[in-house]
Amino acid sequence: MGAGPAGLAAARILSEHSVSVDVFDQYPRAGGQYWRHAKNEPFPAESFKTTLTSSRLNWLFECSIWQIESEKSGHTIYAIQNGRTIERTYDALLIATGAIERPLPIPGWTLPGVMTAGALQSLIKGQGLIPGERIVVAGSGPFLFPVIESLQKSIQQSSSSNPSSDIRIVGIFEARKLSRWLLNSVGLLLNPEKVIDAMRFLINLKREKLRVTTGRVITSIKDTNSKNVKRISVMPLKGEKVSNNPTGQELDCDVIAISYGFTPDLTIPSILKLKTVNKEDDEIVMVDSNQRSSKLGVWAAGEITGIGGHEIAIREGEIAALDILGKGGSLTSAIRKIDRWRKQIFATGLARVYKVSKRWFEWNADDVVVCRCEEVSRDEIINSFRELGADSVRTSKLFTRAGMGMCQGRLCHRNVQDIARVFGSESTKISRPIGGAVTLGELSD
Amino acid sequence: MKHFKFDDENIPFHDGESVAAALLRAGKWRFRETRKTKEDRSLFCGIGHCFDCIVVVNGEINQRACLLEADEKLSIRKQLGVN
Ligand SMILES: Cc1cc2nc3c(=O)[nH]c(=O)nc-3n(C[C@H](O)[C@H](O)[C@H](O)COP(=O)(O)OP(=O)(O)OC[C@H]3O[C@@H](n4cnc5c(N)ncnc54)[C@H](O)[C@@H]3O)c2cc1C
Ligand code: FES
Repeated sequence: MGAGPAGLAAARILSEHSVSVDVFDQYPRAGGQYWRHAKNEPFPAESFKTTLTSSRLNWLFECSIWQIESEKSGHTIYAIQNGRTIERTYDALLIATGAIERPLPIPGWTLPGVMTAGALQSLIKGQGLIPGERIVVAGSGPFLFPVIESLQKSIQQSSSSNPSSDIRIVGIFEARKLSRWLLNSVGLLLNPEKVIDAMRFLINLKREKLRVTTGRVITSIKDTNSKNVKRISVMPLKGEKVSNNPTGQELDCDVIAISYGFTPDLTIPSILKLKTVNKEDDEIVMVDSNQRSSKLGVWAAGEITGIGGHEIAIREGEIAALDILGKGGSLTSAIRKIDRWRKQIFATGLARVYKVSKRWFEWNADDVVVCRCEEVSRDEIINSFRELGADSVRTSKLFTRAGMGMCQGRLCHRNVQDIARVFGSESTKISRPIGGAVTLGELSD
Repeated sequence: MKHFKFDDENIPFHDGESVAAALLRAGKWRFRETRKTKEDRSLFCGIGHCFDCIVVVNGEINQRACLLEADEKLSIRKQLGVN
């Protein structure tokens, strides 16, 4: 399930053996988030090209899985493709459904032109479109780097093909200070290539006369009277609190891309009631060294077992596939496990460096919308804990409707979870019986 | 260039482009109005997770513009509240 780096890496190994494999993905083509590409572009990773044309693999694209039933005889997947329900039973499942981006609520973040950094990346990489002329990238975490890189690259391309175009990055704001990288010293020692990547990125920025302002967060976004232009306020972050010293700044822009990293998409794991564990405040699917989940016949790989990027996702997909083939104890698997270990140390270090403060909701004075679908504010959610007796994300949802809208809490769950951790309890497990929007007509099929 | 309809306007699109990308390219930033506060919304996550980009497509409500491939057969309306 999922044709991103983890799912594809597994499919590549499985396709070399005589097993029959179906690959599901809700998108029209393979690649997941990392190898996102436009329809008429070749697949971005050369080493997967033969996998994509392998006759042993059966691809089910634009096919959304919304339910799974596990019985002794096998696991039955229910998915929707072109309005029709597909029902198929398997002896082994690999869940590789990836992560969801995590933006933090900021007053004004619902204005058109404010988007996640992933949305900006998908417009650039998937659609060949830079959606504005004065762009701000803000938030926290290593994902800001590739977004800025692709933005720079496409700005260069657009100005060489059209010299009159004047698109600029007007600000880059990273909440965390560079000194926090000390928290990842062991990770860096084990992964020296990452130091080279970072140096290359900084040199590139310098060449373009850009700089990352660290220790700053956007605290408000306001509509100006001029078409699509927004004015943002940027303030220093001291420890976990917004401070007035030094004073903040204001800036005009038309597109604001925000990202505070990713959180595993637990939709499918929660349908299967897989056991999860807490890693650096994120709920992740619990797996053993061969990527086996808590349920027999179900493996999990990639971002759902911990945020780590595409390289770890590939290793995990391979390790799972080898174990599905009964080769979990082989030397090939052992070599991949060592590499996974080295990369995981780096990823865990990164998660510490860029850990989002649990008290982000105190960063702005205004009452901010937290649940975008149902338009529920921070104060309503806090009130549900303080005054109404809510004690978890679930009970707060019953009082406020936060998480009950069209996205089913995908965007707000992680943020409400932080508020629950401060005012309520830790019991914030996701439980969702249906994994996506299904019409009654499709259900009755 | 091919076009699809958005309210009363013809929006040009490239082959393989999403409805959301074509709308933004044409400077159309307001895809829908929210139910409660009638606020304008647009593309937000770009990958089908957030449902902020929903529009009415050939009479069918709640269609995600960021996932939908542009096509000449599409007649699209800004979604106001629930329909
Ligand atoms: C918006 C976004 C943008 C990102 N961009 C980058 C980037 O530019 N560079 C980078 O290094 N990392 C990026 N990442 C991080 C990325 O998660 C990893 O680098 C890598 O893609 C993880 O691989 P994966 O296989 O675990 O998951 P993914 O690549 O996310 O693949 C999961 C796949 O599962 C499918 N899926 C999910 N649920 C269902 C369902 N119910 N039914 C059917 N199919 C389903 C999805 O369509 C997707 O194709 C991004 C992440 C996100 C969320
Ligand atoms: S922009 Fe989020 S679903 Fe389309």
